[in-house]
Amino acid sequence: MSLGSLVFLVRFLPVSILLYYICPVMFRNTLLALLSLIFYAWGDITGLAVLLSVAAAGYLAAWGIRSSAGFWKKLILISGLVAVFGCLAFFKYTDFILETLASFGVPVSPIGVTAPAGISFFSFSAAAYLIDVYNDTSQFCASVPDYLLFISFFPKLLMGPITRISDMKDALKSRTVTSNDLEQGTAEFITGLTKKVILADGISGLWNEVSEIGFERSSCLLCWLAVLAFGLQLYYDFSGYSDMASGIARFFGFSLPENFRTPYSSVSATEFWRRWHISMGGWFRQYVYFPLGGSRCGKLRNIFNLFAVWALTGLWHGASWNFVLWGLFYFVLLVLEKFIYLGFLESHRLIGHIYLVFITLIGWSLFAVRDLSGIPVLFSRLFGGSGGLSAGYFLRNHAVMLVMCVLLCTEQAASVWKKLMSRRGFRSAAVLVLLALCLAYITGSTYHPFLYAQF
Amino acid sequence: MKKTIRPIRSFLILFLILYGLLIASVILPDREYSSTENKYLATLPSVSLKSVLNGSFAERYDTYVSDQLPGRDSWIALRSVSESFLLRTENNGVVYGEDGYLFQKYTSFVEEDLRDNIGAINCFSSKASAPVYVVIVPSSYTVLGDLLPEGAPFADQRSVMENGQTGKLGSLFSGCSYIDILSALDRHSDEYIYYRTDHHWTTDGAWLAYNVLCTHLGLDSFSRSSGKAYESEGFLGTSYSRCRRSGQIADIIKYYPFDAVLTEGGNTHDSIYDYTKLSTRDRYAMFLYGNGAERKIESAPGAGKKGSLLVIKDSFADCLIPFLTNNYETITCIDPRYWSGSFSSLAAEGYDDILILFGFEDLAGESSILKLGF
Repeated sequence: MSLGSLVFLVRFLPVSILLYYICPVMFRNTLLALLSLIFYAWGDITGLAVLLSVAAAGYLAAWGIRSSAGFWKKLILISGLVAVFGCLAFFKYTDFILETLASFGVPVSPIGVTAPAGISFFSFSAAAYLIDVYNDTSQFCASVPDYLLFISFFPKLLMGPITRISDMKDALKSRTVTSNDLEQGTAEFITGLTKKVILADGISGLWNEVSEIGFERSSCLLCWLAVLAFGLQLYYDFSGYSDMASGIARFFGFSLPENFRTPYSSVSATEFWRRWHISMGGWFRQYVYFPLGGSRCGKLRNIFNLFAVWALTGLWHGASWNFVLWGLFYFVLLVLEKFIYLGFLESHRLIGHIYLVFITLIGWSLFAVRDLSGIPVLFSRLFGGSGGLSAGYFLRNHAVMLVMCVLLCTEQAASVWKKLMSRRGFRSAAVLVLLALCLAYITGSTYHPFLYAQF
Repeated sequence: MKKTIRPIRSFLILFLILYGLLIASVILPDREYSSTENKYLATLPSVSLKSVLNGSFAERYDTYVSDQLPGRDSWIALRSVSESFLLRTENNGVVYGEDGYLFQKYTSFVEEDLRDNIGAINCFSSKASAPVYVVIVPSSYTVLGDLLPEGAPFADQRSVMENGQTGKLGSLFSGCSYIDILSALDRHSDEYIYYRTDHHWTTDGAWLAYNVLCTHLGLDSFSRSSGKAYESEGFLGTSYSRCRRSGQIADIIKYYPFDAVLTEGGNTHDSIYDYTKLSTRDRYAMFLYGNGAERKIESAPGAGKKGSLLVIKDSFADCLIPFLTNNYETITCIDPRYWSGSFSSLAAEGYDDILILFGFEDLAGESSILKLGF
């Protein structure tokens, strides 16, 4: 079930809120955990077994870690991590590995494993939990419903943010919902819904159209426009979902970590990754980069650490070589910035902005084309290919949406919007208008009239 | 009370709307049919362990909620209106042309599919006991290209269709006569030969092709001035249904009431037109009672009339065939999309002439045409 679907908006969410507020306080976590499992099963009932298995492995291993010491404690941690990551690897990467082997002539073929929805998110939460409990056993969550809710809380279950137990532990024990929480939650929710339904879905057509036509048939400018549209769509889709998740969590008294902070306003890749998918960046920093030694080691070792983090970051995004390529692209940029020109970019902000836009578009070009043979085609058009379908028509068709998307992703626009939404009158009017528009767009997207009489 | 409500006003607005929709959808009776969408709406799915476990219940319930959302038509209309503020040149796969013309987007076709379908037609022709004539109808944007927004990404049908029998398309046909109608349509491109709101050609557009066909077959062409034409206004066709552009100019359907009897699905009608369709949304279906596997048309014998004609066709032929009742006593119409008989047997039947007529888009992509080769 998507947070932007009608079944969620006019069934699941209102019913959940009603049940939650009439439920005795002591059973609320159990209720929310059960609702989260229903939410998950609605979209992927077979994946529910995987979710519960990962959750069970996490709980049992954490219990073992808390109850043991020394070698056994470490062994249980490793076993727990192997179970959690083993599950992730099996469901997400088996076919990818088999396909890669097959391409080298090994006589194997894909077995058709489908990754359960959100597996990368809930696996990372479970793994973080194990390491946190290992480092500090007071983080252990003894209550099964509380723990299950931490792993599977429905607003963040499918697309994050990736939470750590410290983000939710206090609220799991006791929480109050203030009127400010409800208002702040409403503002975040409606902002997120609008980003997802109107902006992301509105601009997605441009990339889809050009991919369908084929990059080889498209002009250089049209390819740049398409990549720009892809980057904007990804941002509004993902950050919109995070905003909705954060807003809904507030209705139930939880505060989720911030996941996006106007990343396109950055001046370097280094800054961009502090503002884009913050919870994932934080996870890799905390659980991969720092344990490897981070930057407190020699230059070469530091470069290797960055390489490991970014190869894994690429793989985390999808089981395909283009994602690895995309991760390594950022590895190269981050190393260059760190050791050569980050200071220059930070002191020449305009040049930094232009540089950031350019490199993110190059990055999204690698990210968007899954078929490796398609990447050279796109790049040959991006850099100097003459001829091809002119961008004029597409620019005209998407002009208003493009301008809106570009302007609204800036830091200045976000700050103005935040100020406006802090005014009660404006907020109420915005909720009324934007909710109506979002409902219209969601319903309109299901409008597929039968063009002939039925038989 | 005021003090309780004011601090959470926007939260209350959000949930009043969501609860309002929830309660309304529970209280209001489910709608069975949507005339706007021309379809039956989903009803509450039944629950079973099997349907829950295989995910089909959730899927059907999602469709049910969106189909039965209170005010569904108004939400769809609101989207249409707000899209117009975005100054888009297209919506839902329909490009807005000049002079109120709507063009259904057709960006590419697979040449191999086109060749395969033509191969099937050639195979059918080689088995046919009567001469086979082929007419391919270009899409409206090919003839009315001047009305398209500049640079609109449409597939190039013209370069395939031009130069008649010696052109790229014409030279692919063998064992049959390819009759070029593009040049005749081009000469009249400033006339009302395609609908604004529908992907079909108008009756006048079809007549131009009929006239070329008659010349080619040595038949006397029906003169439009010799018969009375009737018109039905307010037709909003398939292109409009997709994009629902506000302020759209409606079309006019024109028809000539020829004397002929039509049989379809065991029913015999004393007219080739289904006049009841003129009061529905799908008005083009008035011609030959709309889409269907087989239609048989019989008209009184007359001087200069030939015996029988077989037409293998899509819906473009529906408004052309009425003219042919002036030239053939019996016309059998077969639509391969719905007909499941043997084309080999059909080819061997004793017709005087065989006409194959498809729109270019069907010729290039409709897989049921392959059945002609078997």
